[in-house]
Amino acid sequence: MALRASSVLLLVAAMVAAMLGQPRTTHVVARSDGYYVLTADLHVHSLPGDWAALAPWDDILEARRARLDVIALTSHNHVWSGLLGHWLARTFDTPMVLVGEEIEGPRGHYHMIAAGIHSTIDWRQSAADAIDAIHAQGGVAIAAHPIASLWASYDARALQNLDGAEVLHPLVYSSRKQAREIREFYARGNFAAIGSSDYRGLGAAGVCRTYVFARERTEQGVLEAIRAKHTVVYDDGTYYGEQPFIDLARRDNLVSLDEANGVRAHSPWITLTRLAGTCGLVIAILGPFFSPRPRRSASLEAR
Amino acid sequence: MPDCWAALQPQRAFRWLAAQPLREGAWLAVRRPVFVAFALACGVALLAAEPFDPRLVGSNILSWAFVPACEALALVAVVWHSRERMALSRAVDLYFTGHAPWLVWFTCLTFDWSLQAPHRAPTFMFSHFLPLAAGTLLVMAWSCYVDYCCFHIAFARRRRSALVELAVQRVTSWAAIIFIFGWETPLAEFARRTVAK
Repeated sequence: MALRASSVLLLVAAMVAAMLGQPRTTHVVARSDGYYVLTADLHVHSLPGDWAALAPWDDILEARRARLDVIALTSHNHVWSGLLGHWLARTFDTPMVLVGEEIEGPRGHYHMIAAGIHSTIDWRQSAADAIDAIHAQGGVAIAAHPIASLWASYDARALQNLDGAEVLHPLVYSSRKQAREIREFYARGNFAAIGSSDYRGLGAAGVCRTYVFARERTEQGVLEAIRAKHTVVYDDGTYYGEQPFIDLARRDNLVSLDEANGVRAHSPWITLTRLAGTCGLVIAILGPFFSPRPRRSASLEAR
Repeated sequence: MPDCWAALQPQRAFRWLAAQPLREGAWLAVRRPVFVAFALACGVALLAAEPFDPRLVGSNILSWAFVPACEALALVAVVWHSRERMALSRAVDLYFTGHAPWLVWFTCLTFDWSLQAPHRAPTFMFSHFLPLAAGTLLVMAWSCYVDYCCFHIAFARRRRSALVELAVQRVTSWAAIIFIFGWETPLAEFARRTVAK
């Protein structure tokens, strides 16, 4: 009985304390020189079928928690979770959702984000042809985590037509070699700088993010800003993007908002609530709720 | 606590559980599968969000219900022929009694994972691959033994039948779970290799 009570108490206390410990600030979209500065994570995966932990609706709510203005739901080689997320975002007051796809191509395995499309792009084509197909649907093509093993797929035409390249991705924190390769690829062409977290429900959404300088706060506004390279990515003292927009980001101190949001560290309070929740859950798993009790009739017979 | 006992001494625990007075009914069939979905949801909520969010737990119970559902359906298919000797609801409840080892492992793993800085969490699996793989294999092996004891002792199967039924149940349920969780990758990988040829 005491174990049951302690398990329930720990779980409830962890959840209540975690919710009370959340900051109550509201997210306001920054303005800079007539631009809306939208925070975007353009590489988000979702359950089912995509090796991700969260369903599209939870991805969207986590994006709101992470103070993102735009996300692209980019399941591997299909768009249906993006379509569902897009419908949810239009129906409810949530961050903007772009329909997307992470195209995982044949021969050399290029990975490419197609954002702002409306139907699945066939993966059985070259990178250059896939980019043409994305553009034909009005979307933008972004090289996803372009480490050296994926470079061979991008021929001259693909490099010419690619709209953006991920220059910040969680891989840069786990491997210096891959960080160098991703940045070398970005330097090879005139691409919009993109920071994406490849979010799969592990960690927080938007840990790697793009600041999009859009004239309009619409999907078209975001896509046009990416095509025009009006984006900035910040990582640990370094800015990526076109100089006028880096200057704007510096002048208006946009990154300090990001750091203030604490996207790179946990508070001790959060860690404590997680510990309490874990302890409560482990006690519950060990079975105090399911101890077999004899049937009423059996116990009466025994008397 | 039967789940704890079954995790530590599965033979004795299942022998005792099998001797308990017969109970059956819908609640018996769903209580442990629902708890497994709850535990998975809590683990995912620990991983996915800064706070341990009850809304996320609730939502993930629905999202992750496919895991115990696949396991229960595969079990029912395997023990269907002996349903007159043991009610299906009781079989499901007994089988899920043996889930403590991997649920505790999953919960501790998600807690450890959740302590990583958010920007390092996505690659945690790659940077800690060996200890994670070793721990998972160990838990899988012990969990197989626990389930074998459930089939052999609680379901009163001969050794060989217990092994065959357990293998069929495991393969079908986990194939379905992996397919739902990440169907794109195995299918696409196969297609890519075919196209590349």
